[in-house]
Order: sequence, then C-alpha cells, then structure tokens
Amino acid sequence: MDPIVQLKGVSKVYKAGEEQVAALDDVDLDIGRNEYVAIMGPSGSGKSTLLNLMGGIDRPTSGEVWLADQRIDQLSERQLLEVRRRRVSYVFQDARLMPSLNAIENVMLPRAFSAGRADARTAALQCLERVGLEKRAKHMVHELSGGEAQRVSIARTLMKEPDLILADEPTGNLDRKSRMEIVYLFEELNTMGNTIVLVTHDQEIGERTRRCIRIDDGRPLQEAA
Amino acid sequence: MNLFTLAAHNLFRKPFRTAALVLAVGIATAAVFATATLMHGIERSVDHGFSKLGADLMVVPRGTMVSMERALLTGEPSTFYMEADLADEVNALQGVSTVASQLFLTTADAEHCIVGDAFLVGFDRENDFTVMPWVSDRLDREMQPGDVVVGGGSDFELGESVYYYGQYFTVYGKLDRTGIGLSDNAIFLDLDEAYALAEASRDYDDVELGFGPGDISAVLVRLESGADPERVRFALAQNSGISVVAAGNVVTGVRQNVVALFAGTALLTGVLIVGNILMISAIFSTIINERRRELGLLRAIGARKSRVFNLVLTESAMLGAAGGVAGVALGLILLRIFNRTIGFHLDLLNIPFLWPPVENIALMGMAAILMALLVATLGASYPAVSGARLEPYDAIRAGE
Repeated sequence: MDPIVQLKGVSKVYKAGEEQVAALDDVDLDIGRNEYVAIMGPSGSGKSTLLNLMGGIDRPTSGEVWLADQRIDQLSERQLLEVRRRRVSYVFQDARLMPSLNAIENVMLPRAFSAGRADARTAALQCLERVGLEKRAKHMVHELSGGEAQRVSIARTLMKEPDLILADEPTGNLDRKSRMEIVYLFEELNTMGNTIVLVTHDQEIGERTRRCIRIDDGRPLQEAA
Repeated sequence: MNLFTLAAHNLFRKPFRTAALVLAVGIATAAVFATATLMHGIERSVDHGFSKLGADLMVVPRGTMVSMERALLTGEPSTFYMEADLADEVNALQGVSTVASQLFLTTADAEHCIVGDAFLVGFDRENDFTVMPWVSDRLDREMQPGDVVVGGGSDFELGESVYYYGQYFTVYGKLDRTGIGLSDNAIFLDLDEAYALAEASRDYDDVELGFGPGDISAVLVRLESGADPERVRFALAQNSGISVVAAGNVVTGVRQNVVALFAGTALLTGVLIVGNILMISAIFSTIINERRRELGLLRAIGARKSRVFNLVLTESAMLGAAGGVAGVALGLILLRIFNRTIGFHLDLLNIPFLWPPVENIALMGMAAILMALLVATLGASYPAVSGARLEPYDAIRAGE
C-alpha cells in the first residue's frame, strides 16, 4: 500500500479545567492512496480528532502525523496552512457555506486565498458539474436543500484537487434521499481517484466504504474490509 | 471572487446593521465636515478680509470703538464724526506710513434712495489703500466723478445706475468678497461726493445727515514697516477725543468668539469620534463572534491569518468610506439648508464668514472621508486581530 496518511503513536490530550481528557491514545494508522475509508464509533470516541490531525487543523500531543512523504505535526503554522490550502480538503457536517455568497461563489472561495483566480469561475462551474449542480450555480445558499448545500461544499473541496478529502459526518443532517446522493457522489469521486476518509455514525454508509475503522476511547478497535 | 467582493457580500448580509453603522459614522463625519468648513470659512474670511483692509490701526471718535468694530465686521451702518484735521495730526506721528480718511453715512428709507439703510462710505481717493487696490471687477475705463464701488456682497452689477438722495451714480467697480461686513456690504464713493450728498439731502424734509464738510468718521492708519503699534497707540491716546481700534485686536476678538462658539461643537465632535471607534469595535467583536465558524472555515481552506485580518478590515473600511461619503453629503445638505441661518447667527456674534472655495470644500470633504475610514478601521482593528488569531479547529467547532 502506498500510504497517503500515516499516524505513528499519536496521542491527543485536551485539558478541561484541571482535568486532562485523552481523545486519542497511541494510535497507529495507515491510509493508502485512493482508499475510501470510514471511521466509525460512538460520540466522543475521538473520530473527529483523528480527522483533524490528518488534515493539519489540529496537532497531536505526541506521535507523528505524515501526509505522503511530509511529516506535518512539526510544521510551522505557515507550512501547515500550505498543506490545508493545497493538499487536504474538508467536508463538514453542516456544509459550512458562506450564506452571503451564491453556490458558485462558495465553490470559488478556496481560490480567493491562493493563486489562479483568473480561471476560478470556469473551474468552479466544472466542479459544480461534477456534483450535478451546475444549474444551481447562481442560487443563494438559503435557496438550496440540505443535500444540495452539502454537494456544493463537496464541489468546493474539489476546487483544490486535493490529495485527501476528509469528511466529518457529511450526511449527519440529511434525509435518506440526500444522504444516499452524497454517498454515491463520494463513491464516484473515489472511483475517479480521490482518497476519501469520512467519519460517520451511519452503519449503512460505513458498510459501503472499502475500509471501515472502528474507534472507541481514543483507540482503533477493529477494521472491517 | 476576491477580498472586496467577499467583504461587500458580508456587509449586505445584514443590511439594517450595516445601514445603522454607516449612518452613525456618517453623522460623526457630517459634524466634523460641517464644523471644519465653517471654521475654515471664518478663518479664511478673517485672514482675507483683514489683509485687504490694509490698516493696522483705525482712529475713531471716543466712545465709538464698539460701533466701529461692529461696522467693520458686519457692515452694519454706523455714523459718528470727528474733524478731518485729525488725519494730518495722525499722519505726523512717528511710525505712521500712510493715513486714509473715511466718512460713514447711511441712506434714507425713502423714494430718493434706491435702497434704504445702506452703508455708504466716502473715501479719500488720493491716499486710499483700502478700497481701490481690491476692486476685482471694474468697468473698462478710469474711475470718474459719479462712480461708486460696491462691496463684494452687493447685488448691483457693473454699469448699473444707483441713486442716493436724488443723486445718480454708476457702479464702476466691485470688491472681492471677503466675508468682512464693511467691505462686502458698503458702497464706496469719493469723499467730496459724500459731502455733496449732505448738501443734496437738505432738499428732503425727511433726512438729516449729521455731518458737514470737513467731518470724517475714521482715519485708517498704515504703520511703517517695523514700527511698534503700541507706541503709536500710546501717542494717539494723548488725544482725549479719540479711540483707537487695532486690527490685530479685532482679529483676536473674532478668534475668541470662534473658540467660544465652536469649543462645545469640537468637544461633541471628539466625543462622537471616540464613541464611533468604541461602537465599531464592540459591533465588530460581535460580528467576529457570530462568524467564528465561517472564519474557521476560511482558515481551514487555506486563508492566512493576514487574509482574515484584511477581510475584517476591508469590511470596516468599506463601512467607513460609505459613512464618510454619506456624512459629507449630509454635511453639505445641512450647510446648504442652514446657509442663511448660519450667516445670521455669525453676524450676531460679530464673526465674519466667507464660504470657502469649492476646491477647499472638496479637500475638506476628502479629509473627512479619510477620517471616517480611519475611525472605522481603527475601531475594527482589535476585533480583526482577534478574528485572525482564531485557531481553525476551535473556530470550526464553535457552538457545537
């Protein structure tokens, strides 16, 4: 397996007042390029923490986090920013679209902070086409259904052509129909070569991924292929 | 999609809040702009008017100093007289360069005068240094008997015929407008013709001009370069029948009136500015709090801290600029509406006023907009720093 993410002895401890809470405890994990992985577990088991460490949004208390051949847990804030800007994309539970922008402007957002703004609109339209929403390009966020908003947020992740797509309970707030649309979309993106790691509570979605990692009390328990 | 469009979208998201902030900044800007315009107008008028007056001292009959100052500043007709020989006496004093005599008279509110209660000033053309050098418009010929020069605020046109006590005159020239009442509102005619008017007035029962040939109202004194005005004043004070008005003292008096009038306004404006900075700071802190997750998202998708900082500052700068433009427009409208009232009240306070030229008003407008921009960005700078410092992880999970 050609690993795109490697976690070596990773622990994460949060301070809650005087108390210390271990969100992750000595986790070793490899995720290969072009994998489609689900991370499942009960609330507070450390799923989202794991995802945030992989994406460079958070830093481990101890251990190493590698993204392909780059160790990212020791990077400076600026270097980590470059990782988030170019190599990793996030899909959040509630789409996190900017309500003041329309669909295509939300998709273009990552380019507002990097080079290549000139062709951003064309590229954004292509990303919207990939999620089947090219006809909703000029619709405002409040005019989109929950499923459509989530597809727009996925189109936004595609704008960066990332090495890794991280999704934190992307179907958590959706009805079944919308949920399945998102699942099919992820499967299609994975078929096209994107590496996807998603956190979910949904057993059905977990079973549809190629690899399912169960986690409890900050440690991976078992894997189901 | 760039920083400006994103900032503009954010502002339009809450139109009422944005409009209220623009209005608040606008009101402060309008206060600053209007106050600055009025003060500049007064300052310019004082500088302009008194430099054109050209006299360092004015000698008037004892007890008429206040009337003279009022006549000078507001152009209100005043009549008081003394003997013309005094001019020679003053001219003989050490340190005096030139003297020019003037005679003040008013027109009657009767059919034989084109306008009643106007201020006529007879001036000694031979020694004059306060009228003819400042004629800005004149007929294309030399001034001749029967000609008058009107003040800069007069409605009479060049070549127009005017009559006083049945005597007809031609408007030969017009003075540059200064804001100083005497030079803006009076009508200047040759001293001998002023005496002739007194003769002519005898034909009318309803008129009694209280002077005769050989009387004058004031002697305008120009000192030699380097002469000590106090020494000349002391010498003049030996004559118990006269009072001396120093131009410098009149200017100081005007400035004191201005300070008394505008001190409260300036203080209020300062409070408005500080209040605006604090209000913007408080509101932008709330905005940052509202948008924690959005800012976290921006950071998560690769926005640098500086970009988040710039985004917040761009929003505040847009607000400030809009407030500044609205404030200058509001200030102009208010100045326009209260144009006459302002003039009237300043007149009551013996404060000369001349509207500044358009280019100066435009410059002050730009300065006011710049100030609004500064106020807004200064107010938003601390919240912007807080927003930029948000850790993406904490910001994204805010409210969960």
